[in-house]
Amino acid sequence: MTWVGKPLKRIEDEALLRGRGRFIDDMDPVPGAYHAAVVRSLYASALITGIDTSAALASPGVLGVVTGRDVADMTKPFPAAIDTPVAYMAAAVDEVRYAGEPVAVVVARDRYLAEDAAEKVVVDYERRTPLLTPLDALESGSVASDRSFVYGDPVERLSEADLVVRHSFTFPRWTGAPMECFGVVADWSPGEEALTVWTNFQGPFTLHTVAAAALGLTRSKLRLITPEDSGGSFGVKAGVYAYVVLMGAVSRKLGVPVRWIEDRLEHLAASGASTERVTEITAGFTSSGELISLHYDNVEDVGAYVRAPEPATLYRMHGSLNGGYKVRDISARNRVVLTNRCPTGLNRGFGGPQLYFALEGTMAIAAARLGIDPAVVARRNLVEADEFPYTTPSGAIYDSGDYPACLDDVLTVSGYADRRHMQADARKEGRWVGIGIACVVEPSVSNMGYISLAATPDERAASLPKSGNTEGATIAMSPTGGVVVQISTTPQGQGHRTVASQVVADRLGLEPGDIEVVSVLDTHVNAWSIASGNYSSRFAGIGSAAIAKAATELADAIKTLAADELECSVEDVELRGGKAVVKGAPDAAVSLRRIAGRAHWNAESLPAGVSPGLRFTSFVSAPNLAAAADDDTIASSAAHGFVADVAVVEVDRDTGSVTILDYTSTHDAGTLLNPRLVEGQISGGFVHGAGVALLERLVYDEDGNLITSSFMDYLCMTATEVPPLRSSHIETPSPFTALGAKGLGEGNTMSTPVAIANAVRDALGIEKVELPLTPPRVWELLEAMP
Amino acid sequence: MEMMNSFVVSIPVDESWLVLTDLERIAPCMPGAKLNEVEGNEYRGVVKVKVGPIAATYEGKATFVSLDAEDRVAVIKAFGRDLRQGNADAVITATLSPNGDSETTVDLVTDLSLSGKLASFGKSGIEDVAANVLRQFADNLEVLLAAEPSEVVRPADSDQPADGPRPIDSAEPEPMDLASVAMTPVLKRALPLVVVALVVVVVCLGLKRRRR
Repeated sequence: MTWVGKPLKRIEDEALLRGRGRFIDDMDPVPGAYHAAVVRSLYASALITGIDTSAALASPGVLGVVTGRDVADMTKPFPAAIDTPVAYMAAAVDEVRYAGEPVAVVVARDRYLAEDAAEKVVVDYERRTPLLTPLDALESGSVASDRSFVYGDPVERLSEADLVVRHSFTFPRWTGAPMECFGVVADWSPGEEALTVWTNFQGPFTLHTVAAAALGLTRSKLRLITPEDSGGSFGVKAGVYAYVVLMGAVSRKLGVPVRWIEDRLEHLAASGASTERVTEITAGFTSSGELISLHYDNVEDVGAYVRAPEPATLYRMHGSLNGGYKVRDISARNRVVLTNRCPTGLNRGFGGPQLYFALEGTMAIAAARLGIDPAVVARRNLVEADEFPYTTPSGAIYDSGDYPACLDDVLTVSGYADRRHMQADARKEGRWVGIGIACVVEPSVSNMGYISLAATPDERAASLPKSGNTEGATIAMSPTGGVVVQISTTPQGQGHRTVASQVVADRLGLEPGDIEVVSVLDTHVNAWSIASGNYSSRFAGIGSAAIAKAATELADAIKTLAADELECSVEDVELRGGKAVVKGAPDAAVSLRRIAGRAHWNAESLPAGVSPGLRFTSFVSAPNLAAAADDDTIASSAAHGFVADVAVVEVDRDTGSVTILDYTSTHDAGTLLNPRLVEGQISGGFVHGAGVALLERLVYDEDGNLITSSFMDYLCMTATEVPPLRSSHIETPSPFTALGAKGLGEGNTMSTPVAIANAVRDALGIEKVELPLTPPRVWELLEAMP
Repeated sequence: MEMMNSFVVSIPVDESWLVLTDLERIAPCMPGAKLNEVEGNEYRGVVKVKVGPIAATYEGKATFVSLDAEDRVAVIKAFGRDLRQGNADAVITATLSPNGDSETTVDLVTDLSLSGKLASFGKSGIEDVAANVLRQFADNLEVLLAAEPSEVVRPADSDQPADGPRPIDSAEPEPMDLASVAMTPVLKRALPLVVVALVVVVVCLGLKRRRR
């Protein structure tokens, strides 16, 4: 093992920097494809009383217009994990439930003609009053799911508490804002009654099944092919599957291949978003700050429809309701509500930002009320290093860690004690400086079974259990000794090809540059399974494991051939420098090229145990991911990293602007596969998390129109706003992943929003804080202060 | 959203009530506006808008909800559609009150619902833009009143066909060139929706005259 752990530069970057990336819009897989433009609902809630397509059909270059009714005739509602009061179709039929919902698709010779004609489709609506907030939806009875969970006896423990904190937290609706939006090229084959779609889908491939079901196709009749490159996703591109179905139906209806590339207006209004969650916490503490009882009352707004994989955002963290703490008595009530906003879906952190905004906010409020330093309160409650693997009350198995060491590290690196002195000095000068702490457990490699917790044990019993998290990879050695690896992790810019080359190089005694890694996923070709894809930070934990396993099988075959050649035992062969070498006898060696040539050219000579072809496909499933138990416990993820942050902010009392003076983040993500990529992932998570802390929010007006519909109004962090980040690492390898690695790209979207919120709480001496902390919001807080 | 605007007309309130409800007469005062036809209770008009190279035509129709000649309050429900930019729904309440003996204050309360691109772009600037455009309208109205006597010529009853729309023959308006109106960039992008709102206001003010 020499390459894993090295800060190798990304093999992807040169092509990207030279403008040679291959994205969905660079692909022309079906020459002559027609172009689609989507006609979208103008209203958040309305009945469709008429659609007049005649002017559009008469427009130049228009092939056809497909309405929601046409789509409904060819498709079925998308299945979801829970029964839902309203069926979700790829396009609206009689009723629109959010502004931007597809109503019809215009197909023309080119995009310009399609857009022009789309403007001529006249849709008449009868407006209705939309539901736009989680609590309004709750009050109106727009509830799709209501489940309660109790672990231990939180009510009894609450009665023993010296301090009870009751507080309502609202985590805002935001998004991932990838540089590249959705893209789909759909080609229906009438002869084969099969659909091929090229799309920048990111998985999870459970959604391939959902799309196939909606199209009324068996899975083998829906072939998805992803491009080599994808311009970011952060979870959002999971939602493209709805357009796979829509454009698939359009291609089928009109009998031509159809191409659709989403624009930014469409993307922000109608692609997806994170859930907005209102959480009322009731937490009991002892006078020394020990958290002894914890209750969550969650109201989760999933938008207009329960769109698969929702309500997964609410259950992804279910095993980690205790965060990093030892509290054993926990309850939760989870209500999923429907509003008239775009359906939600994956967004980096996926439930973590919402959970920790409430939990870590509560910890900060409790510390302030008790008059104890928040670092002391956190330290008092953290799971100890000798308790791993640690099973949480709700069923997660925390694989490894040293949470107190992480906290100590971040306090040291941030100079926490000195910061407190500086804060006191600043206050004397009349400056409002605050310090916030957040400690979060970052799960990765999710259990395929966790979403079934949204159903009751009885409902679950009626269907087949779901568990594990399977991933595959294929490796082949050519007749001249070249190595090609096919991965099924649909990278969206994370550098999977680089890490895959490192993992394989170590096992074959080659250099990463010798390994070709193909990131294209073709569901008719690749080794993939239902769990495949790029979500739940699963590459480091399980994607790399599948690659390692396939590479090991190839290495074993090479060693067997080499042992036959060198007349030694297999155990004595090692692979290095492009050769198979007898250990301790460097002159006894044979090149991989020669071995590969023999395997391909001289199959008759192969020794027992070596099959011809030198091509290996391997699957792995992470251990300890059982199906949800009858007592509603679930090991919701395979690996659990830890993040401890210290944020130092200053609030300008005149303008309300929040400046991050210093930010320190200590991660324990197990074994680091490539420290350079690690820093990139942490920076990205931090910028994303700081974005929702300070700027990012999808804002709707009182009619349900998205008014943050461009980057002029939806403010992402840019280079000038990104504060300095110092990161530090502790490595406790995971015993549950093949390489000891854990996911780490989502942690700061979980920790940073609440760390900054806690710092503002500390600066202003207040408890109620809402994100994002924009200057107007903070100014209002200042005005409301006594 | 609710918008409140007001302007002053330099004629007494009784006269204002007549003039401002004579849509056909005052429509040319609205930059870019044209009234096309009337059918029963529904008035239809357009506003042409030009922002640099972009030209748009907003089609508006309005129906009369209530008219209180006693208190001089008119309530109008209006709808404007531009297939590119989206729809606008408005309920406008216009109240005329005396401002001394010789002038009239016109107060407009507009409850506006917007959709599509109209709604997405910069609602924050709309009130300023509304005030700006309304000022132009009021200025034009002053010019009109100075040039013509303020008597109102009512069409004879026979002018109104028994059924079907009655076309209104009026000159094609010059598009209102928003680029020529001095405004901040934020205001500029909010303008199209304001224009829709205002054409609706104008249409509605005129409506009353027809129903007397």
